[in-house]
Amino acid sequence: MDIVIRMVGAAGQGVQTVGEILARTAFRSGHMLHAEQSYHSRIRGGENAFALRISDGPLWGTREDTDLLVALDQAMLDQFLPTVREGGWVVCDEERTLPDGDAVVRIPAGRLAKEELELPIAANMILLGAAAEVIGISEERLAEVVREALGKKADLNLRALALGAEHARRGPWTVPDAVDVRGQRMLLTGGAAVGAGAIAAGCRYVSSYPMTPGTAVLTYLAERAERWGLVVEQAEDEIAAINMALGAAYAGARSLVTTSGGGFALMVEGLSLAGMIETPVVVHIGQRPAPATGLPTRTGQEELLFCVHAGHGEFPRYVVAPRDAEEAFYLTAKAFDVAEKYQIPALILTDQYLVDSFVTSPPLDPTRTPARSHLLTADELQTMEHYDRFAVTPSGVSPRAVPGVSDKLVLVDSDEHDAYGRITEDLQVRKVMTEKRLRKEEGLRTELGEPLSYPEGSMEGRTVFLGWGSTYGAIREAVEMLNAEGGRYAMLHFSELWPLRTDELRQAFDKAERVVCIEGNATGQLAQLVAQETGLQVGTHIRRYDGRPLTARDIIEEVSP
Amino acid sequence: MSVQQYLADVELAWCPGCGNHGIRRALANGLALLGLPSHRVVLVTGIGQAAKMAHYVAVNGFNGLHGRTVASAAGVKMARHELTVIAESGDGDLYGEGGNHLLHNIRRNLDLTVIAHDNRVYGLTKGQASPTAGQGYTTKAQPFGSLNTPLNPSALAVALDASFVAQSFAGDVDGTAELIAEAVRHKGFALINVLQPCPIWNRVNTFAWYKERIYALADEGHDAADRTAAFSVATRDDGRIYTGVLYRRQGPSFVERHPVLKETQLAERALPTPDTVASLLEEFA
Repeated sequence: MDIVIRMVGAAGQGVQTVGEILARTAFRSGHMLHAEQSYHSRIRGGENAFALRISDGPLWGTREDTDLLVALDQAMLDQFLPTVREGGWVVCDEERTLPDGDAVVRIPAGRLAKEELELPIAANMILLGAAAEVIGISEERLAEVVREALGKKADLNLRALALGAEHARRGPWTVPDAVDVRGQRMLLTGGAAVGAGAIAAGCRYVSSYPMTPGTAVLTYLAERAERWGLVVEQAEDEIAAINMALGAAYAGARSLVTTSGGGFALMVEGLSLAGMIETPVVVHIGQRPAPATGLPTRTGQEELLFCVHAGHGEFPRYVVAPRDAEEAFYLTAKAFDVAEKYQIPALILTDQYLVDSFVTSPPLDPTRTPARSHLLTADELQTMEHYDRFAVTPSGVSPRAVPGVSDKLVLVDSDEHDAYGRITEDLQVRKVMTEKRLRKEEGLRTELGEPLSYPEGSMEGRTVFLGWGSTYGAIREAVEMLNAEGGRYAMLHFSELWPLRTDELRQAFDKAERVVCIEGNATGQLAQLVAQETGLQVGTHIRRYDGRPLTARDIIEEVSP
Repeated sequence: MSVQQYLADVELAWCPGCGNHGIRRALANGLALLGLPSHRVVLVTGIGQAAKMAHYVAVNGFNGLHGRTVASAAGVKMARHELTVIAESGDGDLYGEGGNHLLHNIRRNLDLTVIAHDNRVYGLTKGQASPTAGQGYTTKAQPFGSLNTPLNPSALAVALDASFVAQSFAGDVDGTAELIAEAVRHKGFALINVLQPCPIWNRVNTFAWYKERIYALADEGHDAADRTAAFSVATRDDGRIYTGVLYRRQGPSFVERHPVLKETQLAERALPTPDTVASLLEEFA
């Protein structure tokens, strides 16, 4: 089984609500799923689509074609009808215009919602009930999920679902109610994974200005702030956000800022301040197509080189781009730990596709994110005769104190400073401090995990797909499909991007028949970074930059003869 | 507490005769009046001559970016609200580059004291007009004179219903020290605009010019609880310049209103254990 149910409508019609309910039902029924969301930058009207892919085996990403189209309005029906595969079905209101056929299920949803339920918006739930009948998903599971999600409003919605099911008929699929998989899998979005990773790492302070798609992390954390003891403050602008975060971090609260490329552009002076005052801060950047405002609600991978180079002056940083929601949890927690340990800024690059998509994931392991303090304790400070915040050490890392925990004063300065933190124009001190700050990168390099190679083993004679971040799923699926047909393909995927590990890259270039770099941008930013760090040139590129996520088909079409 | 313990033993890079010397003295005197241990105070500054204060007094210091003084101070206060947090910088930093942070932190009403060195001129960049410079004030960068209406910090703060608004003269060290102590004691956002001659660049608003115009509100029976009266004092156009507490209101600060900050200081909260993380992850199961 591998089916895509695409629910489409205008903003305000509840596409996301019905989509989430069906996704959760599939999850409760024991299936793997991937649910991609796409929407226009508006509150009412426009396009809203929820593409739910369900399978009984592992799923790596989204598909662009449709098995069952559930259309809540005419415009979206017209737009998405061409994506319906041969043998695919359509569920829509009886009043929609489209060529009749065996595979069109017309439901008097609007009429029933008004006459039977006296609630016109419930048409969406009637269509959901019809869709559930078509794919043969468990009514019981569906009712369970609706009761959980809608509470007091559940009864009316259950009636709506039943009305839809009554007027529909079974299609050629069955999504069976499989074994109970509770405890074996989790259902989450990339945005929630970043937020949960932050809380698991001991994040206490979040200051951010809303910007799609970074806002998903802001709202996840704001909703859980009281329960987990965080202050989540909406800043007056992004410049405030990072400077507030640095103030809180200086005082000892682990701090996060979440934004997108444009907001991060406003923060880069603050990023440089973090480098100079050696104060940890984590910035989550949900990428979307740019330049400038770009396509606010779409996806892309355009900020890699920006993040690697952002900020004036020279200072170490840690840049990661998790490949999926599971890794987003662990890498976010790691970013906090690395930022604290080396007293540097850490940047987490996701994108709209990763942030908003619901996926089934192996259960997240709470023992894999141990939060460790890297601060001097009051007792340790008490025994010190004198405290220098920027003491010069072989590793470049100075033991860090925060103000108010002992009688030792803590001074940090955005000007060049001496070991105490005092402003200086002594050029010898300047040289020593520059080298001290940059020396931290040596330790940082030892923290880096290996890039992911698949299939395991030698890349000898294979075409190797090189990628980073959320394109992992599309590339993995393409490799599996191509190899299933006798191809010789492999992948080398990076989710820790700066500093960049080069050993595996050199090996891949050495062994591979050819290297193809696959990215969600127009200029090949990873390929440029690889060339900068190794001198190795990628010969072939597959790039997508229309605002939609890369899919396995994009790759297969490019490489198939 | 002796005044001396708050003064860092370093060479000062300020010009002789600069009002900053008096403000430094007033800050140390104010802290001595409050009897605060040095390590319980954080001074957050930005960039400019005034902002070097973080290096010239012996308390914790965060000398951040130009204009971002109040934003960083807000972060420090939210993370460790039991510390006394003072934000101090020049008029360019607080009213120009950082204007937005001032506006919104008045709204936030954290228990912060903001000390603005207002000399109506940019000193460190060599004499350009500041946001408070008078209309027609001529500089190398404003050869036709400043065309803009000067920013009125007191009127702005009262208009936004700031919790505590005051003004002093840098030449009056004792009066400024008392105002600083009062502002720190006040629970809520406090702005003290310190009028300050710049003997190098500002040949208009000199020591003598201020001396002729300033008067103490206390001598005129001003009611600092009266917001309308405060606004009319702040906007008077007879050339006289007030000193003292212009406006003061009581009300819960950000920390008192925030459910998470009622008990433990944020930065003192324990790191999560695997058990807490396990319950965090339950919602995904």
